[in-house]
Amino acid sequence: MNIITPATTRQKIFRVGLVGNPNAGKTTLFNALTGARQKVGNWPGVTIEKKEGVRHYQGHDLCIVDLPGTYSLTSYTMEEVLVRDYLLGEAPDVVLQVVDGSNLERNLYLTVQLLELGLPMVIALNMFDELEGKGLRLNTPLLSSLLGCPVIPTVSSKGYGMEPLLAAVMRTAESSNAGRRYIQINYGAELEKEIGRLQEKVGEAAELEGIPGRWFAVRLLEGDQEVFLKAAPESLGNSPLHHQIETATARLNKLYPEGIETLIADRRYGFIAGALQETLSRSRANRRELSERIDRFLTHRWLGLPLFLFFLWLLFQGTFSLGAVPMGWIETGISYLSVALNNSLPAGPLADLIVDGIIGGVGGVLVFLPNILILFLGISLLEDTGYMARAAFLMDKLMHTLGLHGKSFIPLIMGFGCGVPAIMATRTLESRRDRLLTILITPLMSCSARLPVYILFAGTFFPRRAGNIIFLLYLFGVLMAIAAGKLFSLTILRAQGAPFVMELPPYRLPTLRTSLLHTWDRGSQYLRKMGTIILAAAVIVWFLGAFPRNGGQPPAAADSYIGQFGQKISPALEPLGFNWQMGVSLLTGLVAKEVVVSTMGVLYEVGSDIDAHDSGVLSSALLRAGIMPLGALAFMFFVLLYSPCLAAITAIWRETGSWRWTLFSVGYQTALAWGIAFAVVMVGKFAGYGL
Amino acid sequence: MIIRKQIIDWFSHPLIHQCKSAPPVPAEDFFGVKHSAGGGVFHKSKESEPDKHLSDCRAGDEIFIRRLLGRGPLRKRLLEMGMNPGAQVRVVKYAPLKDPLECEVKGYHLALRVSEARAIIVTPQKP
Repeated sequence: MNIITPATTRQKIFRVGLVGNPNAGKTTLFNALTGARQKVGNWPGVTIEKKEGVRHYQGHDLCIVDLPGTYSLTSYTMEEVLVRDYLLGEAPDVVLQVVDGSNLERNLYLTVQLLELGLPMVIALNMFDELEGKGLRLNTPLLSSLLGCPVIPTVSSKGYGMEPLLAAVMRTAESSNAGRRYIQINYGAELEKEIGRLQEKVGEAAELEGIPGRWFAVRLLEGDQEVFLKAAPESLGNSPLHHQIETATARLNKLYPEGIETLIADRRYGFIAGALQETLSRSRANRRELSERIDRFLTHRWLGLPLFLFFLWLLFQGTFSLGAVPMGWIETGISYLSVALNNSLPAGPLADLIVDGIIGGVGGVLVFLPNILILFLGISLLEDTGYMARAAFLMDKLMHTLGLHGKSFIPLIMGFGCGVPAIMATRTLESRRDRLLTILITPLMSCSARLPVYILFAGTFFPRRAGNIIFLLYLFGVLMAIAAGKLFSLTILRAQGAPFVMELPPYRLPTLRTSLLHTWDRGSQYLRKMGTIILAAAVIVWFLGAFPRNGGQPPAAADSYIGQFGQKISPALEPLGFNWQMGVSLLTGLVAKEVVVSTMGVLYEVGSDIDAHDSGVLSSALLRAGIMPLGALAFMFFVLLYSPCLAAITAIWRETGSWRWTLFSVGYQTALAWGIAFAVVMVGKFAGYGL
Repeated sequence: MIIRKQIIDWFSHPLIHQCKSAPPVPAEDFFGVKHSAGGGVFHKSKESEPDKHLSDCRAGDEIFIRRLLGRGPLRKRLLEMGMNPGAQVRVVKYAPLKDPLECEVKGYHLALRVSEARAIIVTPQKP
């Protein structure tokens, strides 16, 4: 049997902008609506993630854009500007706002701002079960008619309410704009007078740009500089419009000493309170929230910090110890594969390229994948349960004295394991400045790849004090991170007065689907974006090490391009007491820090299969080579501090979205490494040790 | 019994000792036991006393916002987070390192630094 469709219904594409407060369940709703049909990218010009998904419904396509979570449409964070510009510039067919039903009053503040924008809107009243669990009853139809847009109860984690929501979105998308009713907040006689005057002046021009005149006038009175620039870009300063705004704000500020902003916020909240008074009723007494009782332990005065450290330890152990198991499988698999290829391919440059260059490069990327997946599963759980905000609450005092945010703590600690996931973990920080600062100092935390170098050198040159020396290095890395963080926050990354003010969302059970999707997102992004760059870099480094050919044979390490280069730069390292072999291994160590050890093995011709625990041959070779303990100590400090490895550099580039910051990171760390190593040598010489 | 009381004392000890004369704070202690003595009640300030800031409040205090000091992003942020004049605020607790502080406003929980709470003038009665 055929389903007959009228000839007039053609498939259409409607654009839906998904907005909402952070923690309102926006991502969960987005996943519930679009499923796996998502495309992840970046917003042009900024490093904020852009997610798009398509939902096929009633023969049409709904193209849903997940906008960043915001509390308001004022324009002082990147996210808010982005959402506002998207809504005004792109004018989506429907704005779908996700409202946290358990936190109606504050969530509706954004609703009011959106309604003033006059775009067709649908509200998903999410977490409706929590609203009812709080002992509240909401008259949804009445709220809907008060706000002038459909309000659909949903529980997106359980997929409840999706069908009516889609139907409402479709109805709104298809209905014409003409019949729409704008809600208007009455801002009081005096303010309304000024709004009216301004609207007369700029309203028409604004409407031509698709911006509601009244909204525009209110923004001007609120002192929104960006909006003003849009209104009169050619006449900043002395234009009549500027003058009119000045006189109006001066007059209003005299009438309302609290300021216009306060008055406007007051009226908006007044409207919300009025609407809720009519629609929301309490069916039973409110009991103290479960979340607050959980927080009796988790942010307790004595227990809070130890519990946080315990969770952190779990995350760390999970990422690096648990991750080591599949890591081992991947390593074994790769070595089997290279042996098999080595045996089956004819010997020559091609086999070398495939085995040493490509397989080595791909292996170097794949090997981190278990770490990344476990870490992001962990972080996703921390965020989705609501604990991440508590972690920031607990650590903020400490981190703030360093010029950082409470949320910086987790990435910094992850840096002890591996800088790559640590740098990716800075995404939990909302402010770009905090993210940048954290990314810049995270590589100073001594990652696990540097440990083999310490073990070799400390074990060889300071056999009795190896443990102390290694501990000193770790501690020094932390101190340097603190110092650099403080320095940067006082100079190049001064705080832009971004307030800490942060919501502590109620504890929630995360949904498996959201956590797994999130983890998969990160994992596949890592493979795609990092993979290509690291692979290319690995091939280049392989080429530099394997050429020029010496009668068809690979050259001796000293004669290869990289060896020659290492010898060229050795004068720069001479003041530090490093020989050219050390210089070359520092260069190859850029691929991954542990490569320093295997390169030393090659250069001292004792074989590259040096195991950190079985390095006797290499140790005696180093001692024979005439390296002094002081030089070895300086070398360890240098390895601790110098440029992040290629994988980390790539991560920094991806996350900052800027070559300049990436180069800065490489440059300042290398300079710092040289300076500290030189200081170590100087102090050592002064104390009478030879180089 | 003594041990239990000692434990209650540990867990419900007021976090900030700024007003020594004030009654014991917690409305409910660690075990959920109601304390009768002045639970959560704000002690009245005299007329002549200087402005009271949110940062002067102790865990358990329930107050109203009278006005916000300063301009700029902090004020905007506080307003849009529901910390507008007239709003009722309950100070829930201070973090273990005594900064930031957690409070409840409009039915949800908000953390802000003590330095930011200093920009909020509060009053015990609805203004």
